[in-house]
Amino acid sequence: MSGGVHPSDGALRGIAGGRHPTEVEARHLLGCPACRARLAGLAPDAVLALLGTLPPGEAAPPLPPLPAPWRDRVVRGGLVAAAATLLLFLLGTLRAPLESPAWQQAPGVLRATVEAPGARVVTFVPRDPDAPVVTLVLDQEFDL
Amino acid sequence: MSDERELLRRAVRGDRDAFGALVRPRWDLAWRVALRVVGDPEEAKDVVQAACLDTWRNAARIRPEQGFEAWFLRTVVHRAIDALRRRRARPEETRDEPPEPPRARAGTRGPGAELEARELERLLREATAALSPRRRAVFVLCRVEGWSVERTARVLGMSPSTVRSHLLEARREVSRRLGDLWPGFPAGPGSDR
Repeated sequence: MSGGVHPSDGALRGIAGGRHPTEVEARHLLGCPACRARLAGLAPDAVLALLGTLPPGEAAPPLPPLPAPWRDRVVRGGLVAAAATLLLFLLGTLRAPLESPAWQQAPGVLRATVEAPGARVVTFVPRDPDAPVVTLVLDQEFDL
Repeated sequence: MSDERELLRRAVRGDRDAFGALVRPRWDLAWRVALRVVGDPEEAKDVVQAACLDTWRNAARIRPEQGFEAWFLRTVVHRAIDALRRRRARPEETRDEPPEPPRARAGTRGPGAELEARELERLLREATAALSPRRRAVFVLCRVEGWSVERTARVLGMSPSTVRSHLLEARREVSRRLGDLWPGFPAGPGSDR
C-alpha cells in the first residue's frame, strides 16, 4: 500500500521536531500505518503535518466578482455629492442665500429633521399647494 | 518582483485583470489556510472572498516592498480568526463538529488503509477545537502548512517569540487531544490496531 522506502529514524525525528515533510515522505507516511505510528510515537501532532502536503478536501471557491473601483468611492461620497446637488438646486429655486431674510420670501419652507444616525431627512414644502413636496436624504456631515 | 509591482500599480488604478493576476496564484493557498483555520467550508468561502474584496478595496495601501502576498494572506488569516471568534461567541451554535466515537470510525477502515485528506482534516478540526483562534492559526500555519516562525509572525503581526510560544502550547494541546480522540494513537486512523 505504501510506496517508497521507510523513512529513517533521523528523518522521522526531524518531522517530529517541526520540519515539514517532503511530498515523498508524506506520501509514504500516509500509506504506511507502521511508519505513521513511529512518527506519532515521537510527536503525535506531527501526523497533522502530513495534511500540508495534501490538497484540501474541498475545492476552492471562485474568485468573487470585483466591484468597479469607482463604485465604492461613489457609495462613500454619494450622499455628499447628492447633498451638494440638492443645495445647488435649492439655491437655484429659492434664488436667495439660505441665511438671508429673503429666505422667508422663498416659494416654500425648508424643514430639516434628523431621522437616523448619520443621515438627515430634508423636506422642502412649497407654498403652492399644487407643487410637489421634495424630500431628500442627506449625509449628516453636510451642513445646511 | 518588478512584474508584481507593475501589476499592483495597475490594480491600484482599478485594473481588475491585474488584480486577478496577483490573486489567482495565491488563491489555493489562501483557501487552504482559511479552510484549515476556520474548519468549515462555507465559512472559509466567505473568509477568502471577503479577504479578496478587502484587498481589492485597499490595494492602494499595499506597500510594494511589503509584497502583495503578505498583505493578502494577512487579510485572509485575520478574517479567518475573526470568523472563528464570531462563531465561538454564538453559544447557540455548535462550535465544532463533535467527534464521532473513535472506535466506530476507526473500525470502518481496513488494515493498512491509507490515511485520507478528509480524515486528517477532521482530526485537525477536532484536535484544534479547544485552541484559541490565534493559537489555532499559528498551529495551522507553522505545523500544517510548514511556514517558518518568521513568516507566520509577519502575517499574524506577532513577534517570533510569541509565535514560538503559541506553537509550543498548541502542539502540546493537540498531541494530548489526539490521544483522546484516538485511543489507538500513536498508530492513528487507518492502522490495524
